[in-house]
Amino acid sequence: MLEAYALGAVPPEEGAHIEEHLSDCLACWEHLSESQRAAALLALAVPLEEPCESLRQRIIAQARQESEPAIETTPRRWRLPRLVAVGATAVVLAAVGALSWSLVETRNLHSDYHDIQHQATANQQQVDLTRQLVSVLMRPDVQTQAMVASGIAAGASASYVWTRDGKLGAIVCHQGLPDLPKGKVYQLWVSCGQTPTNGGTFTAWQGQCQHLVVLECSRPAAVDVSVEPEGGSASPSSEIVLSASPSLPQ
Amino acid sequence: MDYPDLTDEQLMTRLAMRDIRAFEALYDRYGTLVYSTALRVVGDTQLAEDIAQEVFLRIWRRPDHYVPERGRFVTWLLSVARNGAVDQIRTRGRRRRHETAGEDLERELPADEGQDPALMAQLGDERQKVRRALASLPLEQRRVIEMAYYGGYTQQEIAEMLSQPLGTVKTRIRLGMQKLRATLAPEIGGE
Repeated sequence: MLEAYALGAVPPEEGAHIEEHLSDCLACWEHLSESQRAAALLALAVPLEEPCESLRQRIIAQARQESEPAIETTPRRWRLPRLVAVGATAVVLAAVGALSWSLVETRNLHSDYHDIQHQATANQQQVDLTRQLVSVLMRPDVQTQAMVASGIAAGASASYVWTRDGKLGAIVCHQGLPDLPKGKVYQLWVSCGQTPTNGGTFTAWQGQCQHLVVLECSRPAAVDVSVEPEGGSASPSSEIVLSASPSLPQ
Repeated sequence: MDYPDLTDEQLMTRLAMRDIRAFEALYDRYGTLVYSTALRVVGDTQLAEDIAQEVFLRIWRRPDHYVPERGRFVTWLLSVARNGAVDQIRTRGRRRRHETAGEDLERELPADEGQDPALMAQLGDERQKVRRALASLPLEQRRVIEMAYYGGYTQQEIAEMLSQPLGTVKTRIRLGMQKLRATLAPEIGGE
């Protein structure tokens, strides 16, 4: 019966009984999972037929039309204090982009109520993050220090940016930070005392990154980035690929 | 950046950032396969194009619906296409005529090497393995599996169409799927 369920060949009422049974049977879940993966492969066996050429044009045109209010491909010009120049521009663009994306996401929601609730929470978090990122970079007392790149990040250009009051910091990667394989993330470590503490995880996109951290001390002895498994580690488990020492004189 | 060289997951990451070129690259990679899957189910070129369009725009609108931890992008994408096509024929009450399915099954699956080079480079070997696995099944098992998956028929409907007892259809589906699982174990495990 699970094989037929995997093929979608059981009516809804029988499907409901199967789902009820699955909730109590781990072995059945595994069996079904394998059957579903086998069934999914069947679509690879279809004879290939070329769609008409206009289909691609229609789909791309519709996607472009729907994305018009979202991020523009070419960067916008922003007037920022010279103090934060390149790094600030990258972060503000990313922040505004994230804000636009969250707004577009909100507009596109047609799912059920719970989906909307979940997305609304995520959007609000994104908006909050955007505000915080911008606040770091627009403040007159912002400090910046180039980070030393090594290992897989060798050649990357990145800065550590923080406010003089020591409350907020941000990692800004301008270019060259490589994408990581599936299941890996970059993780920030902030050393206010002897032991580095978790500063959160982030990923690279087109060689760039932006990551905000709430600081526990104004001038950490070290701000480091390592590569860790998705979800982050309790302590650095691989070599440091980006490093800054904000406590040293500028 | 050379988009055709990016993995599906990398393209989806960029697509989530509203990168239209990533979307174009995904279409170029899988547009033919998605359309062919829909066409195999509905048997109507116009409807298959509508389904393919809806599938790709759905990805553009909600890229978060793909969860990498649950499996490969391509099998997820094709499942979306197949399920969307089955929903269409069920909703519209249109059924592809499978009365000729038995005749088709007497022949080998048609070869299509050489079509769509980009797709063949990406999935050529795997496609051949799946096609061979399907072709190696006893005809009566392959028939009911194809009617279920590509036709969207339930076991009861298949039994009525083939004038076979329901229990016989159930057994054929179970045995056929078990053989497919065994034959395709490396591909399934690679998810």
